[in-house]
Amino acid sequence: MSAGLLAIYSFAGEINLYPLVYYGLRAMANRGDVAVAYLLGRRGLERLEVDLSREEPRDVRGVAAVGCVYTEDCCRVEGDVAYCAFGRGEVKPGAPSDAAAYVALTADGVLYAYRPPRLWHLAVGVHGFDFALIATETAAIEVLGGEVRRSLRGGELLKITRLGVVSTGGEQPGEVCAMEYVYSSRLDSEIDGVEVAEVRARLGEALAAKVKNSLDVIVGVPDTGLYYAAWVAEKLGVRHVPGFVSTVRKRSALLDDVRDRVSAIQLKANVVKHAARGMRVLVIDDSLISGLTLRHIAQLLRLRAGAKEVHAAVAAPPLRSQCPYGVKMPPDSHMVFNHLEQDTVTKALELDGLYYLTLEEFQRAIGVRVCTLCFKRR
Amino acid sequence: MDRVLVIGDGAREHALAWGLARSGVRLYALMGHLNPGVAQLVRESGGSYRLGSPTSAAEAVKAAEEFSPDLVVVGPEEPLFAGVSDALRERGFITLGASSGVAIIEQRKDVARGLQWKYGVPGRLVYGVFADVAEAYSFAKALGSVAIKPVRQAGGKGVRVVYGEAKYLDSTLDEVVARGAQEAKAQLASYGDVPQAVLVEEAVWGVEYTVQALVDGESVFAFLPVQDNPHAYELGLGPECGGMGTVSPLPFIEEGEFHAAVEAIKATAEAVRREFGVEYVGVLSGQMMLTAMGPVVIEYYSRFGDPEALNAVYLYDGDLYDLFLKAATKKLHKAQRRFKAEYTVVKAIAPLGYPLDRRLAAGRVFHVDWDAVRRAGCLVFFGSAEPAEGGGYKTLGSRAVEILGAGATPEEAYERAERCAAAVKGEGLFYRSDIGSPEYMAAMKRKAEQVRAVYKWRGERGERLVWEPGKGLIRFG
Repeated sequence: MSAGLLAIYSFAGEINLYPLVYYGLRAMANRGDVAVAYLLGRRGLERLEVDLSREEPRDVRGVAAVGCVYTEDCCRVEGDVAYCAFGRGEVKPGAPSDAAAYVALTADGVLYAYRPPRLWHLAVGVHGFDFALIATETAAIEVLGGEVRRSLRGGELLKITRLGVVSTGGEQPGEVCAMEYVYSSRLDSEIDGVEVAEVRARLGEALAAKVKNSLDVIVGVPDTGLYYAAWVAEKLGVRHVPGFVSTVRKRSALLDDVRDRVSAIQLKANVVKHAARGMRVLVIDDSLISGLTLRHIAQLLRLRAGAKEVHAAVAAPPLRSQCPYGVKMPPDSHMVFNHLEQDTVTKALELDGLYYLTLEEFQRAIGVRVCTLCFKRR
Repeated sequence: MDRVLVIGDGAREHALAWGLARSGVRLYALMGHLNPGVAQLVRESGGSYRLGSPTSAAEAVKAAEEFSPDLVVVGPEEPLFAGVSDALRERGFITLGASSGVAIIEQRKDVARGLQWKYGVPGRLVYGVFADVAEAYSFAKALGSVAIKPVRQAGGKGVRVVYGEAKYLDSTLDEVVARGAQEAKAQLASYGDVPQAVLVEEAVWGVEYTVQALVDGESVFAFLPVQDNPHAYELGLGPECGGMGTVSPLPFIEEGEFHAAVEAIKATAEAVRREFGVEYVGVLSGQMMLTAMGPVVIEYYSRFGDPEALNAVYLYDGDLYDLFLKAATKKLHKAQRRFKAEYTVVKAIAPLGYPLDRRLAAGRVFHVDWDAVRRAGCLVFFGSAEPAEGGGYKTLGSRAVEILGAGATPEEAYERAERCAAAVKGEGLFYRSDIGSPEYMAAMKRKAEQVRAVYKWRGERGERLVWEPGKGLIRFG
């Protein structure tokens, strides 16, 4: 998972920016639960702790802000500049960086947004004549009532001040992190003009072509798995129903600790028994790392709901290596396909069948240039 | 040789003079500052110019009496509002320019909207006019998404647009609305010719296009549609300004949508005649937006747009003097609509500071690499700039130069305009490189298709209702 970066510039001058900062970051809560921002107001750069779980009326006035959502703080102040960054490599606000995306705000009112040549995405948008909006997710710009102008180009640096907007550098972006399409991004976002949902629909259809069993019902693992499930079901002509009810919304793949991950899965996936009782069920998820989610889901379907058969299908190839570029994921030693053969995995996860797209099938189906390093054994 | 007096000193007037010069007339000019481009055309044609206030009816008459032109063309809006056309006609000069009585359609946005509703001009928007900022705010809340404008034309500035569907952003957007209403009202203080009031109307989303037309009281001659770009900065960000560039013709606008604008212009000229008992003679342009409700009129110009005039004049494939004379003498029905089969992209080059800090924007020196301009094959029109003492040119605070690139395709026109923009060299100048790019054209096409699908589905819905809590239902239709 990569961080969600946000930047706001008010051409109208100082204004209460808190609602824009809060909802802009809230719109990217799919990327983590730590949110922080820096705001430039009359008192200079000010750090804002943003509690995403609380909608509260706050008045924090400023002309510009930068912020970030991640599982840990990714914003900092160095001298008279605050910046929020994601990726590897040194960040020098106002200059290109090798492999990090960033938004930065100087004490004298210059806002920078930089998208690196490959992997990470940033989009720019506008609200009326008053606000420039920059965000990792285009959906965040829309949530702020804005209109998306375009994705930044790879290596493009945008400089925004009261007196102008200057874009420097930038070319056709290189490959984007595959997990952005598979899992990290909001379903309603676009990356370089391509809808994330469109890509997921293609992966769902490709996945359906691999499934050979007779089935009674298809269920998706909340939340990301649901959209894939709809497309697999459509292609197979099998009924698609909600199979789980979430108590919390958590990104279980992000969590380090095994216990945390299992408890998150349990909280987000209590089984709907009627959906599976006595049936041959195909459960769909986006990705497979440790297999903990799938195993738990299979047990729920079988033990608690009384499913007759439980098959699983995963939209991406199994993960095999940690990301060297900073995406947070469990260590290689937790990745089940690094240790077991497919038959053994199927048995260990208590499944009747397990399907996933191979790397070649995945690359064919995804239709956009992506980095697939995490699917390869190193 | 026929003589034409052009009043005004911007890039628009430079373009008009350029077009007229091609008709072989002798040019004369009344300018507020020395526009080097107009001055050169005047000299080349054997005419001369005067420096003086273009908004002064007395000075305009004096210039006309000195030069005895066969036609006077009034370029900008402020001379029209100030009665320059009226004074010239009273003295018997044939004049292309709306009288002050009818130019009110541009000068007063509240009057324009009122006429639209009273006479059923197509492309109306729901609106209200308020002297009280609190009342303006209350109406804005009822409408949701709003545009807030000073009731008087203020050089394309002072407009706020707030998309208010997201109730959770109220505490910030409310401030933008309230401040916008205050600023719009305050902006009128310096004019003193209109009541200090604010116009609040529903904000619409879609694709902007301008249809400029000559009107002679009976006939309407429409030029090809042009798209202007009101955001000052790259990517369509930043404050509203007088326009940073244009493209024309517009492959993303359908013939029917162009005709809707022409119909609105015709209906407006007719509404003006019925309301004020005066015929509209001059330029009447509809600044339109293609929205989910169909084509709507955002506002009127009683003159050519700047920079839209450049596209219109360049693309017209005929004798511009003859056409203007026909318009000024009620013979427009004889004019033929002939246009070059080319695309044009115009880029305005502005000094840093424009439009927010005019003092910062003034006094910057720049040069034009004329060889590069010739190589690129484009046209350069001077706006808010005059010759500098040590050579080159000096900015006066607004858009300094406007550049027109033409080509057989939109891409070719864009490439030319970009090359030419790079030939204007100086510290602290900027322009929008996105305008007219293939990416921009594709985005406009997508947006147009999106709103078109909705308005075609909606069809004619007739009456529209706005529910203002605590006050009741307002019917528009």
